[in-house]
Amino acid sequence: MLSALAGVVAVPAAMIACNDIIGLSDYQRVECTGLVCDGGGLPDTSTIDATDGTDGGGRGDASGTQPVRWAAWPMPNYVPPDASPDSVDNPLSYSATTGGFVDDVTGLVWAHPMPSEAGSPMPFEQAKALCDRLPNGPWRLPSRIELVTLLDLSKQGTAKIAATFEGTLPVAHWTSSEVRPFEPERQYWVVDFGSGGLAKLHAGTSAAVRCVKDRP
Amino acid sequence: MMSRTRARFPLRGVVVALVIASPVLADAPRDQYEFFSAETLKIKDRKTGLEWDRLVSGPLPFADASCASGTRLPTLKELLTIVDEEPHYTYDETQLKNVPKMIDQFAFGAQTPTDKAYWTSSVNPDGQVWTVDFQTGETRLAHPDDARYVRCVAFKPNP
Repeated sequence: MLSALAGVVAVPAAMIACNDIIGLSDYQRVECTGLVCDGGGLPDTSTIDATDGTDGGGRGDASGTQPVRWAAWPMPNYVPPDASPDSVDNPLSYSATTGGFVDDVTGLVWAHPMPSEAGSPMPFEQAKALCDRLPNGPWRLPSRIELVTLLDLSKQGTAKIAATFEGTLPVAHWTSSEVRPFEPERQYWVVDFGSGGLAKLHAGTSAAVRCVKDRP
Repeated sequence: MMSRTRARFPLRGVVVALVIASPVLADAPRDQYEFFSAETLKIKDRKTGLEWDRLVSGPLPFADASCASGTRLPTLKELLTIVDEEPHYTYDETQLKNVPKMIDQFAFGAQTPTDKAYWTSSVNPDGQVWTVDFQTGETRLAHPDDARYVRCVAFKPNP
């Protein structure tokens, strides 16, 4: 009985350790070709759904309530060695559209100008609700990696954001990305267009809002 | 006969357990990175077109943060694309303890010490340099004389 109990405790730890040693973990990531990765009929525990910027997809997991979004756009970010000191980190390109601007790289549509009620910082739930009721939606709060794309780190003395979004407050802006592990006091990532940095903020604290939607 | 049967059963159980063991943890979407194995030295991100060095160097001052020919330091935005918002917990040999790592555990986990942040090529107008901390997921400005890790990258657009 005791040995059985010891086995119950030891086996999960051994499984993980052995997976690393024999490299099994590497092969769990192989895309199925029909040859090797059906797992011998084992259930596929993966619920991964790549975010392509158009379907609002992502992947849920046990420690958060929302899917994690990953960058799903090319990063034409090479900065030539002879680039002018004024050049931005990443080439930014936006085209006007109804209610805002389309990012020509990511395909995301950014609301601009934001309504006057967005003129001052607000708690998370209020920011979320504001995006929900913007016309020409469905608008939503951007994820962390989405909002980061608006940064223009070369700016000084003004909000570090693409000139297209003139009037943006140089303060923290809400993202929909939960700080994980997701705890009862609920924190969300914010992108600070004043400093250019990322930070964690409690949902009840106030931050500014910029809404986004996927390109139709 | 009895003892032989009893001796074999738990062994078979362990073998089966090893095969089905599938730690359900967060990582990049399945199709984010091209196929890689334990020996792969570069991880290609299909979505962003960035090809990442799996091995890192450092900690080094910013001036010494060099990359091999054909690769370069990533920009802040580029380096943030490999941050996994869902941390996994693992033993870190540089810190001699279990620490959270906010990066794909299979692609980069074992090759990503997190006791210090990582340099980017993004320089703030005040001369400080942006870094990414893979233990907290945060970005920070660092003085160029500080020592940070270096992970190089190349942009290889998909055909």
